[in-house]
Amino acid sequence: MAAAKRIADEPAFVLHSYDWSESSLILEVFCRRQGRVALVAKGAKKPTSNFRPVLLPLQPLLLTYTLAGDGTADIHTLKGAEWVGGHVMPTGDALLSGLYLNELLLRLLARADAHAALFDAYAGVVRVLASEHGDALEPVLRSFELLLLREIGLLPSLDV
Amino acid sequence: MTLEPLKADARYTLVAEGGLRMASSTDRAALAGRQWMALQRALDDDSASYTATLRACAPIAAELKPQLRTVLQYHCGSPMLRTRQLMIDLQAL
Repeated sequence: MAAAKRIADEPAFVLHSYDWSESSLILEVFCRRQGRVALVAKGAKKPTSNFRPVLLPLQPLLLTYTLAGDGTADIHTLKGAEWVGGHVMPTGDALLSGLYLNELLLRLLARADAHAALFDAYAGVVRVLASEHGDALEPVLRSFELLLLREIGLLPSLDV
Repeated sequence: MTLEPLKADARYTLVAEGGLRMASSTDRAALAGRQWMALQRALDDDSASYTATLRACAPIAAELKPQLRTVLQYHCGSPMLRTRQLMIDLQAL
């Protein structure tokens, strides 16, 4: 049997996680080259799991996973997760703003539709959210909303 | 909406799927044609779209907010975004 195809060291952010069974999680992640992907993190809720402290939203991660069903399945299996680091978890209003952006991405992005430029913008926004520059919050959120709409083709032309 | 070039001094409001239309007195928020054009130029800047857009958004963020929210809500469909509902509930406490 051919080995399952593997996506290694993919830059990604966790958008949302759902409980699945006693010990596992289903994650919605936003990957730089793969777009929005659903992954199952087996055993991630066990106290001894290596995934447990890493799989947090609004944190830059490097994920490794294998494609289920030759990549045709909807949910793939997480094999490794590494925290890239660089900033702390946003708090207060910034945290809520971050969760709001995650919700927008969850609702508006189609599965497996890659948007590398949008990913880079998102990473930049999350860095600002974590840096506690409260006054910069509004323009950063508005520009991300504009870029998101433009990337997925929903922003009308603004000069006619 | 008319596909005519914007007039720099007239005020326009953003409509989902339709584009920009002349603002009327009932619109909650609107921006001058000049400001919309600056925003479009920033978005078209391929080398640094994010920083250019950020710079263009800074002075007009408050006016953009309700207009973008309407467009995003339109494309997200119902129900209302959970994080927005959460914010409203928090403010009501």
